[in-house]
Amino acid sequence: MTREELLQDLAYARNLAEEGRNAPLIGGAYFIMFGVLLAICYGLQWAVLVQALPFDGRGIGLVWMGFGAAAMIGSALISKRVRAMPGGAAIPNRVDRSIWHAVTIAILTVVAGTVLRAMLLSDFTAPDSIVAAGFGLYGVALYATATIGGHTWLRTFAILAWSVSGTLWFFLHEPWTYLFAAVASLVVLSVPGLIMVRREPTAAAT
Amino acid sequence: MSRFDHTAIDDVIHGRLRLGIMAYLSTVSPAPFVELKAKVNATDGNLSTHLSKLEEAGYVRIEKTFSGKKPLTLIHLTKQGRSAWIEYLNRIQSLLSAAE
Repeated sequence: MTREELLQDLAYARNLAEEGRNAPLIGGAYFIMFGVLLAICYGLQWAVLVQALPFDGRGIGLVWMGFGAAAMIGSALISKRVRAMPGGAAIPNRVDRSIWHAVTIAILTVVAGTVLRAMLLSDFTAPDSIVAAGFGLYGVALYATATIGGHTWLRTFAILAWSVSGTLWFFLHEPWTYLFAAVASLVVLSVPGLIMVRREPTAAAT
Repeated sequence: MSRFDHTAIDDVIHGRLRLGIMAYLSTVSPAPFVELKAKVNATDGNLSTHLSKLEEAGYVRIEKTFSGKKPLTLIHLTKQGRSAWIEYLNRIQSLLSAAE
């Protein structure tokens, strides 16, 4: 075995390892779905708040229950689609799944705390912070995924998410912020989702 | 051309195809059989033979499962396999450094 042969073998191994490390992200469909669902729900919430729709606060509760049901069904359908895609177990995709799982738990804790405050202390403005906190957390998830997989373009959307979060905190409790959040959901989640889907590998046969 | 004393290299890993398998699994584990086959550019039979050798050494674990109704074979890099892979890279690095 010569040094040159050994170097060639190492270059081959390095290429394969890098293919795994820089695997395309396969969670784009989730981003699109959540962006659209959140846009619909924030839009409806804004319409209820400005009395463009004839519902009271309970209507907002129903909207978010519908969101939960649609998200569960949609996630189950998408998981079937992405299961057979190459690179599903690659580090960037594992990190992406793990961090969004953590973000979901974090948002649910904010939801639990603020809804409890609304119910027990009659502070019905408390849940307004969910949307602002949510965008901050989306930014963290986008930034982490961008860094681990070398998908630096995602950092732009992370910065956008943080900018939206800051704006929402500043204008907290203003009804129009929900309409702003509806548009921002499409920009921060659905747009990168579409980019990811366009770059997805074709599904592998089993 | 210089010659290496390559007796210290793990022979289980150091076949071109097995090297590729271990390199890919080091970043993608578990990898579906079909995905791995495409990445290392092997035939079904060839890949199966080499995976068996790695499995015998305890470096990979082969899991046969289903994705919906379709059969799915997943190849996992074991803890022992990852240690062997790191050790292999260290040996190679030492050999190359010694030869400079």
